[in-house]
Amino acid sequence: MSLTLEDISFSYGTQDESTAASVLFEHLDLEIADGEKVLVLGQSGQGKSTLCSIVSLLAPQYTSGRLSGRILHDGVEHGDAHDILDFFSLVPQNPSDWFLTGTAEDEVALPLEALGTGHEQMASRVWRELEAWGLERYHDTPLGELSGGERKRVALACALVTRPRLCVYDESFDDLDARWKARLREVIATGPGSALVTSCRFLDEFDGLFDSIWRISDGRLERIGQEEARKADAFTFTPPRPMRTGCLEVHGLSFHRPGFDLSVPSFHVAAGEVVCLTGPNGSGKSTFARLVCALELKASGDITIDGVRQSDGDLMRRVGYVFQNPDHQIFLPTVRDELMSCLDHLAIGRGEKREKVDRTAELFALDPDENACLMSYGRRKRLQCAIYHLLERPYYILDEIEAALPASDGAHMVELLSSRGAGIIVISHDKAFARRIASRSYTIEEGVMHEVQ
Amino acid sequence: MKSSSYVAGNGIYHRFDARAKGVFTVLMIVVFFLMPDLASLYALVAAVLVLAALEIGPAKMCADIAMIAPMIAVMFIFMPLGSRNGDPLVCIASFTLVTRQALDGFLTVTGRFVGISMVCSLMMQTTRGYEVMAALSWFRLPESASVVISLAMRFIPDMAVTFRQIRESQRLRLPDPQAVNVRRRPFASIFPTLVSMIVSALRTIPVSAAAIDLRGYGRRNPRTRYRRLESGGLRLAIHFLFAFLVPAVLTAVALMTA
Repeated sequence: MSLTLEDISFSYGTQDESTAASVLFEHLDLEIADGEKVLVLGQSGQGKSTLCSIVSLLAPQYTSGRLSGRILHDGVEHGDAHDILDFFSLVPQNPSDWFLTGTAEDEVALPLEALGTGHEQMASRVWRELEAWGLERYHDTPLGELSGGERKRVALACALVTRPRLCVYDESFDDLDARWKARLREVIATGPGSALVTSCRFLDEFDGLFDSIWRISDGRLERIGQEEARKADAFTFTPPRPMRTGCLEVHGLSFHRPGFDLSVPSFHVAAGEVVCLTGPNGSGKSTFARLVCALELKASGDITIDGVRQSDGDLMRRVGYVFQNPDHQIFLPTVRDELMSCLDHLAIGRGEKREKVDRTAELFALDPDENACLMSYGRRKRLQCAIYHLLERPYYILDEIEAALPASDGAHMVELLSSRGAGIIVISHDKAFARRIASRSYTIEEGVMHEVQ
Repeated sequence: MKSSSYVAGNGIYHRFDARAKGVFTVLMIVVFFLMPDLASLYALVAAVLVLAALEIGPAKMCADIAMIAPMIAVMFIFMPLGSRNGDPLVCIASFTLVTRQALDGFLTVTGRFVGISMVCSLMMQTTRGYEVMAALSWFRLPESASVVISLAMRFIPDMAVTFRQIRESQRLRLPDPQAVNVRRRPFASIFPTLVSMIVSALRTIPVSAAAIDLRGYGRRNPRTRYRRLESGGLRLAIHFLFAFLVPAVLTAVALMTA
């Protein structure tokens, strides 16, 4: 299956007729030959997800905007996304909002039902795909109860169950642990169909995988080589300077829910230190973060800050937790609304609050009047960090901050949040990124956390 | 974080066929309106609550009642005051606060409300989502209506999860107790949470529409069904018999004893 994008221009619509529309692409061309594997790299907000929507025939129908140019699948123009289901699949960047049913099994079966696949064949293909992505034991689990990586695997199973001849993977390597990243690489490399993969950074798994690599920047696509792509991802990181003494310590922490146990014999992060936490999808990294912020009820154990045992209320107000999915933390219409809401409790004047908000927005390269709901996934992650920067917490947990952000941006977020001497726990699947920024690291294996020596 | 209305179990109502359970639920709603007096109405409500406690557990049953309690409180405040005619029950000087008829009306509406809510909750909490969809498909529900119900079943439990996430997110933004220049205010206001929830719900609309298109809804070829209920036979016939018989017997007994 070949894909041709001919003279594509796209601009986001504005509600105000008198205001000029924001141009995202201008006269963009891309050709993907039958069986070709293509990587599109780009910073957050450069239009990678919009490009995926255009290729999927979802834009501009479901995104306000104007599109011109031609999208040809095997030389043929199609009208609607449902018409190309026979040969095309999309793995969305943030699959949670795209699920239409309650369980992985039903979700994976949905496209086969639409294609009119016979029941026996459908059952065997659904189970084969669930097994391929390690989801058999979760087949009946409500999707809302799965971890971010598990949800991403459901989306992959859902897209690949129809055996598409062209598949678009929108930042699909993010949220996956090393095992599933390797699995996805194998699927793309050995699959007979064409593949378009988008990413904000060049991962080790991409090495030698693609026939061509493109960089999207300022509305244009530019072909680059692998070495150039790798070099573009280089970043510098200034480790934080300890500005105060103190430590967040965890002793004998345990948590239990049906089918899941987590035990943390000992953990600590000092003020001004960056510590990394790794582990497979679903191992309990986010659960640990929620326990440290008192968002989950621990079965046993102590959490102390500077040697003092903390109540649940104190933990919530002293540990800033940047969630893995920004959609679970950003709810207000504009960047300014979100940032202002952090200053509600401060006894300072409105002018001073506004000044603080503007300064923080500038520091995190955000437009205060931008619509927070329409920003790219990566920019929403930056907004989450900006919110906590305003709150000035002594400790932060950054859950997969590197996902959907270039490594340099992820490292910059850590620098900004640690600039006042905060201790930082970075939860990550990117071991290379973690090695660069963290002084120590912990991992979770078979439900038990331990320090990596 | 629980995001589904289904409560796992192996009780008799859990094993009751989803099609027969659907019919039983509809007929029971009708029965609540046929009860001739308060005694029989509340006896029926009590029977439904016992069934709920056995099937989903007393704690979950109480949680369900707690969810509808604010509505009952609103009815309690406004219904007796709204009806001015009848025999005075509570008076302040010459002003009649509550009449017997108003109190009867309140108790009747409340009994029906609790009973119907519990019967419907019990249907959703003892039946998996795909069984509900398969049952509706068996009753020849049109495809478009099926999508709407499927989405409702996916998103309504999600609303509770979103509500909790917003509250958590807001709690995590409270000021450090040791910080200076801070106004101490209780974390109680529900209004910002509701506004955020509406914004969050509106944001999912275009994505859900795109997902419906992407998953092939709207194609011309006939769809097939992954989930199918057992063809039925004698077992289904017996379940349907019970689904019709139980409401009929309850109504007859109530009318005869009235």
